[in-house]
Order: sequence, then C-alpha cells, then structure tokens
Amino acid sequence: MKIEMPCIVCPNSCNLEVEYEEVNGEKKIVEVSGNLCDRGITYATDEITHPMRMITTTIKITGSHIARLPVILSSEIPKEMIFDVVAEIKKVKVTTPVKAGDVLLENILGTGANLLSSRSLY
Amino acid sequence: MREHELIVIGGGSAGLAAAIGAYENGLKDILIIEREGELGGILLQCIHNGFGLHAFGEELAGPTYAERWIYKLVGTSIQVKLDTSVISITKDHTVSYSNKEEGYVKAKGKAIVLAMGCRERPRGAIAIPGYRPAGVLTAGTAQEYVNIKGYNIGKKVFILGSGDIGLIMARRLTLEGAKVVGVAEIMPYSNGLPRNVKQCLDDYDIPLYLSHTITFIDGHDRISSVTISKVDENLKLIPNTEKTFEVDTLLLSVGLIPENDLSEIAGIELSSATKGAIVSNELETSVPGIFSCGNVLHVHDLVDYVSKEGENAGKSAADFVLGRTNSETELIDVTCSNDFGYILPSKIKLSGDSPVEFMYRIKKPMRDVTIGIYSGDTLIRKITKKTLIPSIMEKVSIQKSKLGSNDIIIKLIKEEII
Repeated sequence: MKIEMPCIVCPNSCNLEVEYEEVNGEKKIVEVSGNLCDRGITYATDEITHPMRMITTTIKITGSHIARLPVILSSEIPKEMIFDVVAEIKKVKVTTPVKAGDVLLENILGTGANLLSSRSLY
Repeated sequence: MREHELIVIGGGSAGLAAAIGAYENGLKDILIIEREGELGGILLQCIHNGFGLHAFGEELAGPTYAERWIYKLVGTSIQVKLDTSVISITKDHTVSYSNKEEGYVKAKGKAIVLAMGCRERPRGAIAIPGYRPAGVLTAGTAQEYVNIKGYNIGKKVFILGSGDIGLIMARRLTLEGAKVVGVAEIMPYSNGLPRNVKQCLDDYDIPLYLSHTITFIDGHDRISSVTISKVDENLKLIPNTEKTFEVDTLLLSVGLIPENDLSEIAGIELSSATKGAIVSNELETSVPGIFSCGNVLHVHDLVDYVSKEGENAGKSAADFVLGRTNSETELIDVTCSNDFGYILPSKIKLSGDSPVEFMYRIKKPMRDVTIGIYSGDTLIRKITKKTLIPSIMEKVSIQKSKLGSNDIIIKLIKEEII
C-alpha cells in the first residue's frame, strides 16, 4: 500500500510517500520517499507501526514573576500514552530557581522520557 | 541628545539577532528597546517545540530558543531597556521613548533596526455577525493566558481560522482538559503547516471544516454558541448549510499583520502585499539608515528565518554606520505576477558580490509547479516544485552576477491548481 503523509518531525513539513505491506497483521515499510533527512524514514516507520509524539506543556511554579513553567520531554512517547503522561506531568510542582534543561521528573510512566524545563526562572 | 550607533526597536527574535549581528560586525554602542518586562518576545509563550533546527541544529521549545539568543548578549556591550515604549521615530533617526525611570526621552541612532513583530487580526477586522459576549479572544492572547499566566480560558472551544497559532492552541487546550469542538477555515485549504494539521487536529480527532466560516455568535454575558455556514468558491455563503455548536469560548486565528505604526510615523514606504516596509536586499527601508527585519517586515512561518533576517539587518546597519555601504542609488525593482502573494526583497543594489536571497509565497496551493525568475525577458532561474502552498514561504538564492541590470520578475511557467 502507498500513502502520503506530512512529516511532523520538524518545520520542513516534508510530504512523505510511504509504501508498506502487511504480512500476518504486521506492517512493514517497503519504501519512504519525499524526505529531506533520515528522521523522515524513522518517523514514517514509527507512524505506520507505533506512532510516537513529543509533548510540551506547563507546570505550576512558585517564586517567579510568571505562573507557569514551560516543560518538554527528553524524548518522544507512544501516542496512546499522551493523556496519561500529561496527567503525570501535572502533578509536578517546582519552586525557583530552575534552569533550562533541568530534569524535573525521570522516566515518566516507564517511557524512558524525562521531563525537562524549557526555560530558566530565578 | 544621547546618541547610539544603533537603536533596535523590539527585543524579540528579530531584534535580538539584529543586535548580535551588528555587534559581530563591529558596532559596540547598541541599544535594544523592549516594551515588555523581559526579552524574548512572542517566543516566551510558544512553548511547543520545533524552533532552532536551522539556527542551532536542534529542535527546541520557544522559550529555550529565546534564552539561547538572550545569553548571546552576555559579555557584549549591547544595552537593553525593558518596560520601555517607543512613541515615535523620525526620518532623521530620532527615537522618542518613555519608561518609568527616565520619563520621556529622545535619543538618536546613527542607524535604526525595526523589529517590532506583528499583531493578530482581531474580531473587528473580519466583522463576524452576532452579539459581543465575553469568551471571544484571539489565539495568541489565549496562548499567553494559558501558557504564561496559567488561566483556564474555557471548557468547550471553537476556533475560527486554521493559522498555525490556532492549530497549536487546539492541541494545547485539549491537553489542558478542554474540548475543542471544531476549527472552521473559510478557504478550501488550511492556512497552517500540514504538520500542525496532523499533530494538532488529526491526532485528537478535532474536525477541520474547510470552506466554512462563522455566521453568528450567540450569548449575552458569555458566548453560548457559534453558527458556521459553508461557502462556495467565491467565498459566498451557501444557504441552509448552517451548523450550530454550543461553546463557552471562541478563538480567532485569522491572520497576522506586521505592526508598522512606528514605521508610518517615520514616513517609511510600506508594501500593500506584505504590510511591511519596502526594503532593498540589504533590508534597508525607503529611509536611509533605517532597516527592517522579522515579522514587522513580513510574517514568517519559521523563527529560524526571522533570526537569520535579523542578523542580516544588523550587519547592514553596521555597514551603514561604519561607512562600508556603497551609497549607489541605482536599484533594480523586483516584482511578482498575480499568482504570488509577494516576493522580497523589493529592490536590489547591484554593487557587491554577495548572493541575493529571494523569499516568496504563492497565493493558492499548487502541484507540479515550474517557476521562472526573469531579468527583463530573460529567464535566469527555473525552479520546479512538487507542491507549493501559501503557508510555506519559499527561498531561493541567486548570485548577483546572474541578475543582469534589468528589473526582476517572478512568474509561473506551468502549474496545476489543486
């Protein structure tokens, strides 16, 4: 089967053409084209077999001039776990000082992804 | 009157890069004037990732990207004034500003870089019929309320317009527990990047109603519902296609306009296509020594390009102040055919040998396109593209020696309209 999908990995937004076959209910990539970099191939393979997503959100911070600290994950997580992971992130509360890149929570729900601060607040 | 080598208006992504660009090219006495209480501009509320791929070879969240640039100021002689509003700029480079400490002050810049960014089109600009209840706000305002102030803005949300901020906010509000019931777009295609339609709407089963617009807003104290209708190819409403959604919030993501009030006061010539200044390939406006970059020049889709343009404007400003500019007055014009939204730069100085980077946007989505860039009647560059869409700005770089001395025009040679 051949399908078209926009690559969501980076703002280049490559329009990927993905050819895959299904053997015994298991999907296998035959060819990916239209990608500007190798991450497009990884994305297309993941998207067909087990979609992964990056999450950014905010958590409560005290001691700063702003109410929320923006946070990001160190790596992508399975798409179906988005809401569980977000609920877990929401439990985290921090106080200043925080530096961009600080690890605020490790290995969230066993995904291997850490929660990182996206900015520094003093 | 105090005088600086360079005054940069705005401390967002364009202004920061312009100051750094000028500093690295020899200027020392540089002042950045920022209206908000901290540097970074709109990036501070753009908490999603995808910034920095070109500038740092990494994918960063907006605030991280801003911080990288802010840290570049450390150890330089670049000065910053926060919580400071510029009131006017004159043709002779006098900048009037005011803040709490100094009151009303006039300062002169040997050069000025305009980096004020853009603002959102509000409800008044698109004249939606209906009542005027609370709960109707622009997507960028909602972004600030949610991501920085931590407000809960609503539980059931409809979004008008498929610009990137609207799409990003659809996902953001969904993750915050709100139900986004739909997004309406008057055009038959999305105005946002395809990746955002996929990861912000499709991932969360949020319907995108293309060729639809809002025809009624109901509600008295607070918005209670919106009604949408389908439009035909001439954007005329089709009767009996109404759908009503009960909502407590409506976000508007209906376009961005470069914020050029100060440029107008300075008598700078503006383009009706970009709503930004008319600039040369050195990003110089019609007023010598005043340069423009970033979203105040034209609305970009990638911040990395804003930073690059900012650095270039900073370098040009340094060249101007240090007398490295050739004051040649003979410029060639650059125009585009009707199929294009715009092409920049509008004018080119032929002296020097640095290549000219053209940036352009198509008006409608197209497939299998061949574009020609002509010097007069002579084809100097042919570009073929599998797809072209209005939400993606295209770039092409051409050596000055190839440009000739005739005016430049960009046209379609062959296309298939989707």
